[in-house]
Amino acid sequence: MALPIITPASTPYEHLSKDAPLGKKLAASLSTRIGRAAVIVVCLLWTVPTFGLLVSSFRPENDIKTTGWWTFFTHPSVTLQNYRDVLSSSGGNADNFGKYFLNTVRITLPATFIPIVIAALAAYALAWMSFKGRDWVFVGVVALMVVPIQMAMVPLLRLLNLGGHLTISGHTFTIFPNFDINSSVVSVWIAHTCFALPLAIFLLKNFIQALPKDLIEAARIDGASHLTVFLKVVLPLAVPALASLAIFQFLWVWNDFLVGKVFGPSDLKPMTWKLNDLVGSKGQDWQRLTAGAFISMVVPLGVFFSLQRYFVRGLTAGAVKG
Amino acid sequence: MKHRMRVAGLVAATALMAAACGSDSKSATSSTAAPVTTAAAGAATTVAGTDTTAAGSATTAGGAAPTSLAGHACDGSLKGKTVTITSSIRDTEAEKLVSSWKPFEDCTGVTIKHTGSATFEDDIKTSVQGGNPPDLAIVPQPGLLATLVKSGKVVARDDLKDSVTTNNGSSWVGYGTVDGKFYAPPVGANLKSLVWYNPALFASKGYTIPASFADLITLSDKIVADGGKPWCAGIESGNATGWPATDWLEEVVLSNDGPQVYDDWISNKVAFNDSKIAKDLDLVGSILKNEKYIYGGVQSIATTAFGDATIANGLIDGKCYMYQMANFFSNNFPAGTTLGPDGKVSTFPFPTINPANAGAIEGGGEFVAALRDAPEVLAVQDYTTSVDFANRRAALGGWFTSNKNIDVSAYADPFEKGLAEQLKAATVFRFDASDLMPSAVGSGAEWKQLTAWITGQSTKDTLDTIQAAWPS
Repeated sequence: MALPIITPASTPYEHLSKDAPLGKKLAASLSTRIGRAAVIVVCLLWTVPTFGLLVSSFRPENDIKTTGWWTFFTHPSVTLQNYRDVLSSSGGNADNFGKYFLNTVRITLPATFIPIVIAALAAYALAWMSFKGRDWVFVGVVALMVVPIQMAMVPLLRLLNLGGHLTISGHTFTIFPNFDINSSVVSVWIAHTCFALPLAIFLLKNFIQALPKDLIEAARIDGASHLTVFLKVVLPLAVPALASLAIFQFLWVWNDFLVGKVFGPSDLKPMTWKLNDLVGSKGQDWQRLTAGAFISMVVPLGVFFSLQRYFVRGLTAGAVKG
Repeated sequence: MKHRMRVAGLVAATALMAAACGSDSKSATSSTAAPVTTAAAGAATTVAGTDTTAAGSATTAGGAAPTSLAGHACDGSLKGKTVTITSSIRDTEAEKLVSSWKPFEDCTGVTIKHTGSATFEDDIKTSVQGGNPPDLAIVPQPGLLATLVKSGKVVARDDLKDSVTTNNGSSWVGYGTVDGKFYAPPVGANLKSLVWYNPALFASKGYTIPASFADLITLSDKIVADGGKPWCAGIESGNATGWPATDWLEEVVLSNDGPQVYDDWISNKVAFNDSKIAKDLDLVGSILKNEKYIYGGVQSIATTAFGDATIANGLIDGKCYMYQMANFFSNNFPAGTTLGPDGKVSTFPFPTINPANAGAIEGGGEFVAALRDAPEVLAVQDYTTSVDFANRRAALGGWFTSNKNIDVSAYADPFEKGLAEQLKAATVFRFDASDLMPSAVGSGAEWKQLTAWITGQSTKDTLDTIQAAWPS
């Protein structure tokens, strides 16, 4: 993942020479009036489809299906029917969207928390504990990032449902026990954790490794155990990185369709799965998607706007203040 | 400063989430008056509470409590057992399905949990491979059934052969049979050899229902001469774009060359690029590739969804006069549209091309396969294919069955009653050919190539490419 480089806005760029790095020249050109206008235009264009979706979600079914959302401004007619359809119990599959909203919350919170805890511990160990083969373990973790999750799905599903058994000349050895958790939300948490860990460990290891060596060594000399160092020194300093990772993971799990669909038991499927089903068996009710999509966007938008600061700061800020 | 910001942010996020959850659960409970967490309870309340038509017919169909259903005594002996079912059936149709199982649940005490999925065909393969298949699966294609049987998980039901033969006919036994063993009895069916039209508009313009394919072309030309567009067409369907075109071709092959060629075509004894098939495809092209005939133009066909509102509204508003589509298109009309010869829209049988094959009908269907060998699973399978179930489901509307022993008066809608009579009168019934062909052809090359054919590819190139995709 490329980390954006944010330069303080107060730096004057006008005097930059021709040999200035491309990034700075780009930043300079964006801070001119034309540059700003261009950015605003791009942002507006970017937002138009979402805005159209919002407008559509308040239009009656027949209008949505026969005319474009922009005709709303010449022939306005507003209805809450789409939201009523989606939220009421006659919405679809004899179940309402609200239940699936809660399912998604139930999946997302643990599936964000668990991988971050494990990744933080692993990152600390890989960065500051010396043991044999440490670099190889890290290389192995990074290498796992290239495995597409679509390929790992069926094997993982088999492992969780049937366990891993090896039969050698008539004797069956159980390598992995059969947890039989196919009717529990735990399998979704495990799947999300597995798929999130490589990137999370990679990001946090790099961040935690960059902490000043003096701090950790001083704590060690004062007699702190690894656990104390981790909890008292590393964790507080790593908050920006943890926060940004949490946002990434939260948004990923919240918007996830595939993992929830494959691993989730039938009545614990996520909201995205329900969204896919709102259209009806023959695709005749797709007007409901407009309202459904907006309900599913509320929480990610809230999280993003309220934690936006961390989103940027976590990726750029140094951990130690002077 | 930083710390305070974080707390504020988290509080804001939590509040937002709480607000969203709060309003959701409130609206949910106020409308259902039942705990939202139990799927079955929620479903039952929904049908009874909000869908008035479903509730009305449910009470009429209920009657006195039966002592046994589909050969299973109503003694509550299956109490505490749960059977999971997955299918591609969703939304209101799924609600009706669930409420049709209700009497059997009340009778035997079994709990039935149904999940409909938009991506059922992929999901079922993943869950069978991954080791957590549902107990029952309602499979719409015999080809997919064969794939599932190869996994070794499907329970053979040779004991149901006789009842399926009496109820549906021996050809339906054939569709549920893989390698000589019978696995999956039929549930629902659909008729494909139909053309949708607007009866009132036809009457006012003095058009009559065409009896032969030649009449159909004459009528189309007449509509063009009167300044109208005779046909609506759309073959877009996401990953499955092109399948409505396969129906067109199948109907023409069946009606032009007869059931024998149709069967040989499925087994590739008659090659896909045979001159007979090429002639039939050109017949399809005489309508679908005729710029004067198609509302919106030939190029719009590939990008118009088969269930698009422009087609449903086009028929109602008279922007186009005819649309070839199976009976399940009835679900795509705006709520309150009356169906049948006296309604706003109706169907006529796909006109006969060769008089020798008059009365041949193409259709499709769904089959219920058991993936776990347990008494409660097989009991629900028995009920799902039974006459009791068919009567009850038919009463809720928007559904059709190949079960001939159904009480035709059970159909809530005169439209479906008419179809049932049409099916009874059919001399030849053939299952959707593309669903029976190997999936590399029937749900692969044929869809893609016919889409390319609509947008301009030649008949020869199209058929040669499809034939080349046939697994050797």
